[in-house]
Amino acid sequence: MAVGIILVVLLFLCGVAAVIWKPWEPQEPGSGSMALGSEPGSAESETGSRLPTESMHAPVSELPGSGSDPSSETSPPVLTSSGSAVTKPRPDGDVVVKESPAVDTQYFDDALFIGNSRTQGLELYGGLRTATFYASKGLTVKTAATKAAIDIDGEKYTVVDAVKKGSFGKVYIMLGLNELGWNSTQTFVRDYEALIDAVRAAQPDAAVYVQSILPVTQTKSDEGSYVNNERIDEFNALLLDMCERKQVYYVDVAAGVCDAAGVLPEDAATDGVHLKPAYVKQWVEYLKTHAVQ
Amino acid sequence: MKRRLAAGLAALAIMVMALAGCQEAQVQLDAAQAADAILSAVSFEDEMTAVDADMRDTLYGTSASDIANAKVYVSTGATAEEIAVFEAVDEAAAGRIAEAVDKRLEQQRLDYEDYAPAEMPKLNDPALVKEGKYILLCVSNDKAAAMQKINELLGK
Repeated sequence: MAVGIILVVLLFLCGVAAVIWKPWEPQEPGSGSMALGSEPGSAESETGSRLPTESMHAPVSELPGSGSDPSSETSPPVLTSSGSAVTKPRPDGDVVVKESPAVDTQYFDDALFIGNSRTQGLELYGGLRTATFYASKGLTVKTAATKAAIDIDGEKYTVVDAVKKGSFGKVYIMLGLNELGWNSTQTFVRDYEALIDAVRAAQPDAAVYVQSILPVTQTKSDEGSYVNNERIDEFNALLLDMCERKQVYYVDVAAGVCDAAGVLPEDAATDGVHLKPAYVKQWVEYLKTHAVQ
Repeated sequence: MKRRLAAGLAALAIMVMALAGCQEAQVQLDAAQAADAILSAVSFEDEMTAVDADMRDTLYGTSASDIANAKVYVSTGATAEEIAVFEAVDEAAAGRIAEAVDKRLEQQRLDYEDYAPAEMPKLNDPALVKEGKYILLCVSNDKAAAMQKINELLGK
C-alpha cells in the first residue's frame, strides 16, 4: 500500500516536471537524400525536419500558442530605472513572437538588421532610418563569417566582426534564401547557430529575432529551381526548431507579406523574389506589430 | 593699318572667348527633372523608386554639402538598374561626386559579379556623363536611349 502511494506520488512529480521543464534534444537528420544543388565543399545530403506548411504562413491568430490563453501571452515588459521598456533578451519558453500593439519607428533605433539582398531592400524602402543594416547581396550563414562585405566608415568587415561594433538592443536576422540549394540542411542550421552565438557574444543584452524566410511568387516557385516555396517552408521549419533550441525569438514575417495561399503575391516582386517598396512596408508593419517589449 | 588689324583680331578673339563662355554657362539643369526625364525616356526591367537625400548619401557616400540638387532612382534589387543626377555646388564638389559615382559603380560590379552575372553588361557600360557641375548616370539595358536623353538635357 505504502509502495503504491509512493509510486503514485513519484508519477505525479514526474508529470509536473515534464510540464515545466522541456529537456533539450539534438535535431536528428532525416533519412534519404535531396539533390538540390550544391553547397561548396559539402558532401552531406539529408532532408530536414518539416512542420506542417499551414503553420508557416498562417495568419498570426492560427500560430501555435497565439490564442487568448493568458499563460501564452508575453510577460510584462522589463523596465529600466528610468521607467522605459527594454526588450527582453530571451523568450520565456515560447519563441514565436505574437501580435502586439504596434510600436513606432523609434523602437528600431537600437535595432540591427542582418541579411541578404532582401534586407537591403528593407533598408532602402522600409523607412527605418535610424536602424543599422549589415546586409549584402548573396549573403549566407557561411559568408556572414567569411566575407568582408560590410562597409563601416570605409573599412570592410565580415558580419561576425561588424556586429562587435556598437551596441544594439535587438538584432534581426533573415538568411536562408541563398542557401536553399545547399545539399546539407544540417550545415545550414549549424552555421546559422554559429552566427547566433557570435551575435550573442558580441551583443549579450540584445534580443535576437530570427525572421522567417519570405516566400517567393508562385511563378518563381514553379520555375523548377531550388528557390521554391516548398523548400522555403522546409527551411522555416528548421529555423523554428533552431529558435526553440537556442531560445531566440522567431518572428514569422512571411505571414506579413504572403497571400491566402501562403505565397508572395505576383505583383509583389518583379523577379518573384525582391520585394517592391509597397511590400517592404508590409514587412515593416508586421515587425511593428510583432515586437517584444 | 597694322594697328587696326591687330585691334580687330583682338576684338574677334575676345568675342570668341566670350561666346564660348556663354555656351558653357547656358548648361543649366534641374537635376530632379532631369532624372525624371531619363526615367521616362529609358526602358527599365525593374520597378524604379526615388530615394531620399539620406539614403542617396548612404548609397553613394556623398556629402550633402557638396550637392546643390540631386535625384536618385534605384531598383528593387532584382536588377542593377539605377538613375542618378547630381548638380554639385562647385567644380571641386563635382569632382568628389564623380569619384563617389565611380566607386558606387565599382561596388555594384563586385556585388553583382557572382550574385547576378546577367547584370554585368549594364554595369560595365553605363550611360555616364560628367559635364561641369553635373554628373548624370543611368544603368540600364537601354544605353542608347539614355545617352540620347542625357545629351538632349545638356543641349548637345
